Amino acid sequence: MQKPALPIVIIGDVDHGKSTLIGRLLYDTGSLPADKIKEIKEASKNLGKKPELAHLLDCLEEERKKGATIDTTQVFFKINNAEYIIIDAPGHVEFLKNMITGASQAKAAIIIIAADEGIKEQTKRHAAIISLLGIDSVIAAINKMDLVNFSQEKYNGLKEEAITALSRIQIKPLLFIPISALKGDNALKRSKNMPWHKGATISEALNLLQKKSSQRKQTLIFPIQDIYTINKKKIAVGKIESGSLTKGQTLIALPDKKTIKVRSIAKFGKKRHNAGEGESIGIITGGAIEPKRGDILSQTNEYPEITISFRATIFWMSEDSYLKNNALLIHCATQQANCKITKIHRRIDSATMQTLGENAEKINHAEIAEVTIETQNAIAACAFKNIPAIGRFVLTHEKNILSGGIITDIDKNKAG
Amino acid sequence: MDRLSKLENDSIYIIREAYYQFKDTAALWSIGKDSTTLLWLIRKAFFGEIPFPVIHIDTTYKFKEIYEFREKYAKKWRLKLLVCKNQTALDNGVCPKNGKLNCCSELKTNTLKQAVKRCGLRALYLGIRRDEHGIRAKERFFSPRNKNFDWNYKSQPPELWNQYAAKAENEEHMRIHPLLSWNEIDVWRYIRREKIPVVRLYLASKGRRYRSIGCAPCCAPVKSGAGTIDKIIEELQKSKISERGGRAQDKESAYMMQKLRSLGYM
Repeated sequence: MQKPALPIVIIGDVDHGKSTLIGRLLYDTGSLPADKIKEIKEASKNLGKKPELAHLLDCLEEERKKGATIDTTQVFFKINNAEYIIIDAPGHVEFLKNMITGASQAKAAIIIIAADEGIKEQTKRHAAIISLLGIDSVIAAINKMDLVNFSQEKYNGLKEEAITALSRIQIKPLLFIPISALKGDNALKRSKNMPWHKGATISEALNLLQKKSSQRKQTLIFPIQDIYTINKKKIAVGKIESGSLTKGQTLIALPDKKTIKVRSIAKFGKKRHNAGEGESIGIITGGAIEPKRGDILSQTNEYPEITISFRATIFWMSEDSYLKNNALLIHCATQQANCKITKIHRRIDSATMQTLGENAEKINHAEIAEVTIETQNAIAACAFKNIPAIGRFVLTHEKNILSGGIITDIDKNKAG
Repeated sequence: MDRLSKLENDSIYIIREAYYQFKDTAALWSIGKDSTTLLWLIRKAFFGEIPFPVIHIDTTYKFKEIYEFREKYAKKWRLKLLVCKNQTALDNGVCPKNGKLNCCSELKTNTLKQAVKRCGLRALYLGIRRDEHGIRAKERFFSPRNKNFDWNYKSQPPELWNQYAAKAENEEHMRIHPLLSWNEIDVWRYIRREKIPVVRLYLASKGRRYRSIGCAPCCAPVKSGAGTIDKIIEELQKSKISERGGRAQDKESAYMMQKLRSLGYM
């Protein structure tokens, strides 16, 4: 059976070689159609530039001209039958929201650091987001080793520096790899220029990440998306985020804590006896109440907390600053509630991870903040590290996503 | 869960999420393999009956096999089919011979603009995929377009953790892209698994087949002996020519697709 592709985000500073590494992987795995290579050669010629591996991704006209990625892009390739999706995220500060859009879909990350420049502010900022998004499968590649004569001494120095810088933002790379994406050293093929490196190549590291991504067993989280009436029967639809459910099982609907019985499980064209994680299904129910959009169905013996207050770490993507206690809408799985940030415990510079202020009154663009959020109505929620599906949320105002975040602690004194 | 099942379940989630937010909606059906797969997924999402119209933008230059397929399956799947043409442009002689960029933009983009306005649509489902073309790799699942159909790819709303509360300034309608994460071979494998019917132009006859179908004058077949879905999948595993290799509008200049798309092309 074919495993789903492992989504990986590549982060690093502008010009440190993210797109070049992706181009290299595509090229070396033979994932490139011949006419694409031709198209890139032609486009590069028109711009008076030499064709570059990076152009495979930086497809937009202005990206080619400026030589930088603007939005997030996804590409696929295969090594030894394992599939990967690479998400190329932009390096510029103004593209933070695109970076987050890309990175939030990733399960693993590669951090690229150019050997001639070392770890930069932007790289730390991106790594902080990776840490914030709860991605802990990280490998670090020291790129452009060709520019430092493939020096082991230089590599060791950079590695030490990166370990120190990354540990401040709670990131511990599983592996460090010296590479030259441009020349191909230690990407797919082991480098002849760096015989001193006995560790993994990028290809071997990817294989490791793929193996590490196996899923854990979890509490049932079935957020209701909508209710359809099909042949006069009401069907509650949604995607099971974690756990599983069985026909005949009694579930609890949160936040109301009412029981619901699963009379039947429907998927188009077939009746099912049970359904598991990741499945978009419909259920016909009986019991005390009818489920509605936003309900979280869970097991009666083990279900998440109901709360109107919790602590969270958020990243502020909007260009407009947020003033404490202003009205927001929180979206957590399919739940939605009016809310406000009542306390801004700490504002953090996302590049340096240094504290900008405590007990603050506002949060600015591209800042990370530790906050307390209070909701008008109770929601089912959980710390992200326990149940990711209801431990992460976005904050909106007038249908614009302003911020995203993860729950770090539920306020037990304010249970709903 | 295997890859195809994951793609199917995720797409159905997006389809249902979009329908929860937008009731004045329609799906675009080009009758090609991707949008036919999209209809298949929408039928699954709603247990067999698509609760909104299905629009075919008819340039009148489509292959006859496309028209036959459309009639057969519109009936079989009980689709609320809307066939839309830009009659004024056709009467004014717009055709591929008089300029491909203008033809695409008049007979496809403007036809769609008229349909969106006439039907008061707030959202449109499209079967585009990221791997089709570089510019499409930049798309979001929910992608806002203003009334001129402009796509502001430099400043798109963030999208994370299956939250699509996105709304842009001056938004006119939302493009919904449930197949964004699929690639070409996934679509064919899914067609095989689900036994989804496809226009027979995709299958080789006399040593040639179409990998991508649109208007007859602007689509060229590729050399191929793949007369069955199995053979197509086998062929794609080995192929080094990209899918839209036979499509004229991608070729005229390296950036034609980008220009078309920011003008509102599908």
